[in-house]
Amino acid sequence: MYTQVIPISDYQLVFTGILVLVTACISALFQLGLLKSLLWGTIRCVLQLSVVGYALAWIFSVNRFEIVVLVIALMALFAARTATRRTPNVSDFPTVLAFLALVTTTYLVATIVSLAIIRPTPWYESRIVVPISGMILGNTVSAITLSIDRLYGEVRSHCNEVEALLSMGASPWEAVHELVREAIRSAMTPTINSLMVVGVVSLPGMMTGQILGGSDPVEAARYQIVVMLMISCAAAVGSMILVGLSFRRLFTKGEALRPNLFHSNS
Amino acid sequence: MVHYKLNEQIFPTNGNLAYPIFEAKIPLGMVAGKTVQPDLNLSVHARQIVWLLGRSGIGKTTILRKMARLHEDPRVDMKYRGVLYSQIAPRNWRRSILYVNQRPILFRGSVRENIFKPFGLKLNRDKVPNLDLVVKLLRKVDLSDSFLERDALTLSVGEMARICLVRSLLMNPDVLLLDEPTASLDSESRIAVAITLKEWLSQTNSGIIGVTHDETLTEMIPGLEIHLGQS
Repeated sequence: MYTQVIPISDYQLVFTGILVLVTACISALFQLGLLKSLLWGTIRCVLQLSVVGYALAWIFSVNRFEIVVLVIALMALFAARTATRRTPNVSDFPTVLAFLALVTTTYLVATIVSLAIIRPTPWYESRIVVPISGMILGNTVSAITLSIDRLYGEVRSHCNEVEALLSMGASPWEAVHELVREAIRSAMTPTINSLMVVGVVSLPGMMTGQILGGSDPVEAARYQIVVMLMISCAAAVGSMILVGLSFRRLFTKGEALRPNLFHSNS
Repeated sequence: MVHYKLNEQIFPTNGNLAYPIFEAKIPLGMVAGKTVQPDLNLSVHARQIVWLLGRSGIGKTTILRKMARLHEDPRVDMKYRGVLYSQIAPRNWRRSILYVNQRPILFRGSVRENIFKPFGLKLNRDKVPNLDLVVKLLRKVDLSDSFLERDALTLSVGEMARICLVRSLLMNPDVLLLDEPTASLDSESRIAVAITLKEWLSQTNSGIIGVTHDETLTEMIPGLEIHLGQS
């Protein structure tokens, strides 16, 4: 009884225009100046999602290991570019480091989820692994962005302490490891908090989607449990990798705090 | 102004006793690439103090920070016991040529934790001072041993400054770079600090480079005075 998806035809999709119209009216009424963005946003939304739909259909039908690996790497690249634009405290956050952190985290966590928990055949089943990786990436981006931004912010506001430690003969790691802890903690906190309120305050998008897609809510809940725990794990792994890769960049070769650390691009 | 001269080494020595503890040549007052002041040349020998004097804002703090290699400047030329600074790992350098910030820097935790903070670092783990010495030093700067268990961040600035000084002296550096060590102290503690520094100088083979505006200090611990900002 739960397996029936009500399909949305192109004809029906046209009626989403009602929603756009309401949004547009509000924008016009209050002169929000959002009409152009709304129009452009709507077109992009339709185009992007349609393309993604077809791309996924192709990926699922081919279902090859190399393609899955490649697709995840591509998604990580896009995610990395978004991440580097969202850090007001970090003036020169290299996309490479964000990419490395994201791609490693996603491969690692997705492998665990697929091999140990969901266990599809083949284990790299794209219908499972690609969406899972997408969810991991989406959440890891915010986690790593938080962690690096917090790290720089902490070091900037505690530069005297860091220098005092350096003066005592501390290595760069010894000088900042307390602040690194804060950075990782701040990256992990939102996902851990979301564990507490999930289902009570709101129903997660994936679970909603599954229910709309005709799944048994109990099954959907099981999947959601996996997703929630997977996301918190990814936040921890991702922020640890990124902060580990980038804390040395706070220092010069001569183990002094970099003077241009205090410039920001906000 | 003393210009450093490299003594010709006559005897092969292990500890490089033929050299001053610390020598520095630091370019000053570069404006638009032109030198408006002669370079600062100084050397410090065991038990010697060098005072850097001059108006506020002429970069005395920056000079000390350059000496501690916290502020990097490729134009400086520094030697520790005859060895060029680039040959010495930054953390070893900084532990030996110790910069003490004008603003006392304490960490969350008790005074005891703060005083022992340097000795939790890998480089200093074998140099932990014993508590008797800590207490003696605290008393010398007019603090009692009851301070040890107090929360460091609730102390007054003057108390913090003295705690920082005690922590620095316990590290037993070869050169102490002091940035206005008495700036936040009342007259009594100033004298206590001056006496402590003087004793430390006479009992160790270390030297001090100090920035100060405090005449009590320069009178009580006389040394070489370099006036900056005048040519």
